[in-house]
Amino acid sequence: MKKPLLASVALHIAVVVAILVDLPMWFSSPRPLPEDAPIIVDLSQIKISEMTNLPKQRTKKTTKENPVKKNETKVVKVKETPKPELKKEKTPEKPADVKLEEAKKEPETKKKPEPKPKKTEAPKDNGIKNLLASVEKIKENLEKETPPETPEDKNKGIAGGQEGSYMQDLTISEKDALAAKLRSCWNLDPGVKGIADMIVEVSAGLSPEGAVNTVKIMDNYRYNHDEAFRSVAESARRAVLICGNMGEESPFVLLAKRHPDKYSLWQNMRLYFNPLDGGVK
Amino acid sequence: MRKIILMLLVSLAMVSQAKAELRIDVSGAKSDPMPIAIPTFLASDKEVKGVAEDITRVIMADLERSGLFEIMNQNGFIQKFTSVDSRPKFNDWQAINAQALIQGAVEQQNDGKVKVSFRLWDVLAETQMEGKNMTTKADNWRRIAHIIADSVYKRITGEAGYFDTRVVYIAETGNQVKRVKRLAVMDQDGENIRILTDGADMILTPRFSPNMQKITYLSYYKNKPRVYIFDMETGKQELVGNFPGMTFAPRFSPDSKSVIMSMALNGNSEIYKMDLATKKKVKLTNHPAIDTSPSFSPDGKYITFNSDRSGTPQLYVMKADGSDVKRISFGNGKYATPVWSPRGDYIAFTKIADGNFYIGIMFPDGTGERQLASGYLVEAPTWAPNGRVLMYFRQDAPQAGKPGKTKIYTVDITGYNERMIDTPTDASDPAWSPLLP
Repeated sequence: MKKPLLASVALHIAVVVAILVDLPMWFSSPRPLPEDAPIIVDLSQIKISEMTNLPKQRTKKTTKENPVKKNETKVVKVKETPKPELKKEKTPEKPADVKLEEAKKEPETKKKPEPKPKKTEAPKDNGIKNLLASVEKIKENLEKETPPETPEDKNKGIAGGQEGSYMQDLTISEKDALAAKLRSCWNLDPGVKGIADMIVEVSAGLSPEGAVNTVKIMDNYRYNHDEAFRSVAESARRAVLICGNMGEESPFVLLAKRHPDKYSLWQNMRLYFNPLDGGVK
Repeated sequence: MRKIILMLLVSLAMVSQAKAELRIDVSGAKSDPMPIAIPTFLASDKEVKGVAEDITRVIMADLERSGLFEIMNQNGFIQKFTSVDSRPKFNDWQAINAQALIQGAVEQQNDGKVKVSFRLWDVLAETQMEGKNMTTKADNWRRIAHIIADSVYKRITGEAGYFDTRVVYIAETGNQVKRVKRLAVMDQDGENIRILTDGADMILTPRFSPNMQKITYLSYYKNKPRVYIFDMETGKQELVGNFPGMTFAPRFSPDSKSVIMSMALNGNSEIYKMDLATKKKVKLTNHPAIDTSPSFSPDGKYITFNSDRSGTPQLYVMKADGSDVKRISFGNGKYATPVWSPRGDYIAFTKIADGNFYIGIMFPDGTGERQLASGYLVEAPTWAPNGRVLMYFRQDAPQAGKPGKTKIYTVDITGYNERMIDTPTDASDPAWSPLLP
């Protein structure tokens, strides 16, 4: 009795945590900056990670162009609720913005020992001043700690060059090309009973070079209980492997060459094979 | 507590993993035959070498004839097996673009029997898909080969096989004036032909019972068509019921316990069902039009039949007790000889339109009509036990006053892969058996 209860509680907690982690947009309704609200700026637990993926050059430029106003918005949001939406916003100050984003993701990491800014309740008129003061302080510290930027660094960006951008997807035509290639690798018996109602979901894991590391049929229950589905599912898995064995012509290798910077985006693929939607030829 | 924490971590890991995946929708595929490598089965000694070669040859022929497999040339094989238990070098098979591999062996046993083993491999996934051992008399090598081919077919396509089956048909000889029609049976690939009757009486529309023991057919006795049952084991034939009129178009029920057929009396044909044990007959239709060619659905709940009650011959479906009659064919032309698929999803039929004959299929509700074969005369569709392939006969148009040849053909329900079954004489009215027990 106790174990099932514990398991049930654990599952419920897991679901709640999953929702909190993955659906923060639930809490993303924009809240106006309360003018009277005190602004607490804690920039001590900041780390620049790969996922930020912001080119350093661009950051530098925006530093000069962007007014303090944007900073104001960001900082307030960080303080109140960490939201992924922040990533999409244009980053004003180079170290400040980058750091702010990452602070949401990995607050536990402390790589740059900085003096913790005191959580001060700033009066409404001094909020921006306080923020600026914090940012400037961190900027100074960073400049001291960070070695001078080389030309390579400038081109490298943070995680994939200047064109790299976190959350930037492949283009529709790139996806279509990949789907077309997989279709040409997919050999299917069109007479299978019930084929019209089958969509096979396959998960593929790729290496940075575009090699197929893993291929997994997701509907394990139907795979083990429905022989017709198993046949179609295996043909879909075969399609991924056949395409993966095409050497330099493999669509995955081509993808790897074209977008090495977006590896995090395509290293895991979820492929949906629909036998009849496009016709079996 | 540890378990709970672990579950939480796993849940979070799964959530974050799903988040990072790139979604691609792949719609449509090609339908080329699958390249399959079949090295000749290994033989334990010289005595069974011929058996091993014969088994390999028949497996190849079965799979190739299905149209779903491309048998790869053995000359291109890199790996040479020395044992059925040695694991394939998958790179060698991938290099020649094989997608499946059958590895087998025949061993002579001390009791005079042979042990046949095989393994089916998925070359790309590098996994064994199937593996079996069978011990039997060497004389049974042909059936063993069909059974192995069925296993491979089933494992790869997800459908039951149809290679270990027989076909009963009418072997025709003589000229048009004095045509002799004998009852004959053969393996589905045209081998092992046996003539069952002497040709003294004309025989038409033979049908297997689902349990394979008996064949029912129409035979003319004193110029009067009657339905008979032929026992395959005893070689005896028995008249089905003592009906006052002509009886024809017989077919067994799915449980083999009864026969449905047409009986013509006073110029009107109706459909009857007769219990073979009690000889009790039930009239299922009652209409002044001609009702004929009944065929049960595989679950025995419905019957499809042919009737001209609308003015032209069309297809109908009714409940097994004769109630709730619905017309299902509405296309241009005349429809005849409906046969319900063993897997229940289609009804096959013969259609006559615009001076041509067609073999077609449609869903039991009449939708999705498709034509699979056409010609001067194509008729009498019969299903393979897996409901995937149709067999029928085709008669060519007469040339220079001579009648065209009549041969049996198969076609996939996709409409592809039409193949002729090579028979020594003209052949018509085929009926496909279930898988042999």
